[in-house]
Amino acid sequence: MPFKGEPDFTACPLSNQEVIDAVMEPVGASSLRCNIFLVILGIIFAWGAWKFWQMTQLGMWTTGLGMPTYWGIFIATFVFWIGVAHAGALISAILRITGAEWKSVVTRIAEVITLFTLPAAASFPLIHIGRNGVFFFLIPVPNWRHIWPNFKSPLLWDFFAISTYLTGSVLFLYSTLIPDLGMLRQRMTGWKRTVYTILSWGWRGTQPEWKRMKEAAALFSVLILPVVISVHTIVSWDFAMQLVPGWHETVFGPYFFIGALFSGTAAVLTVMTILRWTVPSYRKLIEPSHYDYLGRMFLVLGLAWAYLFFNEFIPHYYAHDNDEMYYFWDMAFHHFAPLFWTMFVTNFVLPVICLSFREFRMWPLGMFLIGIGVNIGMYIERIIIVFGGLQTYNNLTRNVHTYWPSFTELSIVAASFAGVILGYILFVRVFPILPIWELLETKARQKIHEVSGRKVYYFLWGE
Amino acid sequence: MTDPKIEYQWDGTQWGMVVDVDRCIGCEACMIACQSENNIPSIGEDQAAMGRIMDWIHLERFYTGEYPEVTAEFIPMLCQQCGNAPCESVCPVFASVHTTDGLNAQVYNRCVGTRFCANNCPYHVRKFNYYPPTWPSPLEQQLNPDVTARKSGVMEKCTFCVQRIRKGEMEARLDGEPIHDGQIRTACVQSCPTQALIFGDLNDPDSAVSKHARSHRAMRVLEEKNTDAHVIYLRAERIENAF
Repeated sequence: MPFKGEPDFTACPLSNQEVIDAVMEPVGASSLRCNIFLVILGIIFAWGAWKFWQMTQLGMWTTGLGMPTYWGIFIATFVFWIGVAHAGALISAILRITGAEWKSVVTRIAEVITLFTLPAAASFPLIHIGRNGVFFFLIPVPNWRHIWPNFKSPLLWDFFAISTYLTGSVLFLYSTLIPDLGMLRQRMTGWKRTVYTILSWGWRGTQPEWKRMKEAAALFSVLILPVVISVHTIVSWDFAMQLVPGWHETVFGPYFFIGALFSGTAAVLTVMTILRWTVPSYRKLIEPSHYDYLGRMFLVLGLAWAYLFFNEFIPHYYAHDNDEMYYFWDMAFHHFAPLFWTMFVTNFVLPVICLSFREFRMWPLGMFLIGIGVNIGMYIERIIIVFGGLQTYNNLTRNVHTYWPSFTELSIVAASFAGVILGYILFVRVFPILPIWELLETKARQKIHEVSGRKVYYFLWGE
Repeated sequence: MTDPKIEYQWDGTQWGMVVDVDRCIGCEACMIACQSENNIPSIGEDQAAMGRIMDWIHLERFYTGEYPEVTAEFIPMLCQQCGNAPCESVCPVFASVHTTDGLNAQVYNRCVGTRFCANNCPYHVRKFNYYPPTWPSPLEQQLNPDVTARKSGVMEKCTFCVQRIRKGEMEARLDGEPIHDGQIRTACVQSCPTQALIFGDLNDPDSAVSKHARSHRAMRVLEEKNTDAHVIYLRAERIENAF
């Protein structure tokens, strides 16, 4: 849709070599500031790992949990990371399938987010269980006692969904990374060259190789869609299949799924902007028009999220079920009111107002702040759902304990954040974070015609 | 007790309990009996205030009336041994399973401690071991050798004194006779001074439990959850709307 006489989208105006050099800038680079930051992250991660070890040795009393809050911040963080992980595969798969030409900048940034947040998410149920040493009871291994896991339990579905998604998204990322690794190999010498040769499977760039790679990418982008949708729906069933007020809802599947996309897009915006600030040459590649396109998608997701969010309460209000009404009252006007209204502002009011304006969408700093705000709001949402539901689960008289996360729990959660950021920075320093071949391909496909004094841009399809 | 919503009816032994709320005086003898029979660890006041108390049976108190004329109703609350148990379907490792005599069993060495079952239990009777089991000084001398100690990180709950049930079954088999009604008594039933608790086979129409269960006062707590509980409460007739 041309806007104010401007083209819908134009490929990067740099020459091919300039694009390659710009993308390669952070690969292999290092700076003192960045190294200090990495060390700090490493210390936080190591501290959290130590606290986790301590927790496994001492017992679960090191957490703040108690009846009726048997699930705490670990589960809230688990759901949050799963949500952020939806950035990756889904955004790049949808954009690949619909053939959006602006996708090339966004795809790998999003996929790498999945690469690191999904293991972070998957680790939390294992951290959270009481006997961490025997987590393999959840895995269906044939054994001489013929004891199998309970296939009726949503937690087991979770296990399968997450492991499938992790495998799929890693393969998806890797299949599109191979040509760039091949390109990287040409620039390296010595042992690094050997490493990249092995990683790129000796990619030479022949026609059959390209064909296979593209077939694999197309196949993955289609196959990953049902997996992505099922993953967060199944995570929502962990809650929806229980009797707890505020959890036992049929709307939870789509609600969690849209919420995940919403927070995933927010994470992509955040990472894009940080890359743009820290790597100077990326300012030429990540342009405000990309923010504009991503912002439109973000706005649609925000509105869908808001619809489902209100929809969550309306059936309760009609039914006037006691437990559910108490849950809503407790959330909106009582214990969780500050959190609830913060979430309402950061997830609904601000994004919907700001993103409606094109000028705002083209403003990287503003989009960064909105992205951070939405992710804070989504984290709060998970906290409210997990703790809020459990603490109002008050069928009998004996609801004694108000949950507050302990220092151990907060350390482990901080370690997961540090680990994800650490992994991301290391990835950026070892692999190209923007897909070079896709950027060049978009450039090559773009054709410009002069029609009665105006330039017309269009993209050719096919090889 | 036939419920049209429940498709499956078990014809064998169905252990069950009747709690006569009118008879309960709130002495908490059942709690102490249960604690000593089942090796329930003691965790101290502070931890109990954090909601980590380990009792398998406790008293729910409901107060009625305005200040000088306040009356308390006590409801002994224990695992309801649901036939349609919410805890069983969510356990990913089959640690919470149904036995062939209608008990809702907890397999301690299979439990990984996801606490999924505790979230889903509408009665809040499942207890999680936050600590390795400990007892204050003289208590460790009176532990019951028939009952295993639960390690840190597993879920536990009322078993209907399954060790007594198994012992009774073995004795009956040795004698070559069926189990008589009243032969097996759980610790709480045995200790109740007013005989507010009655234990027996609900599928045997002549047992004391099933006779009481047919009473016009019989009801089950949170029946709207359709848990098919096998602990039947006899409604207090003194006070209206006690539940």
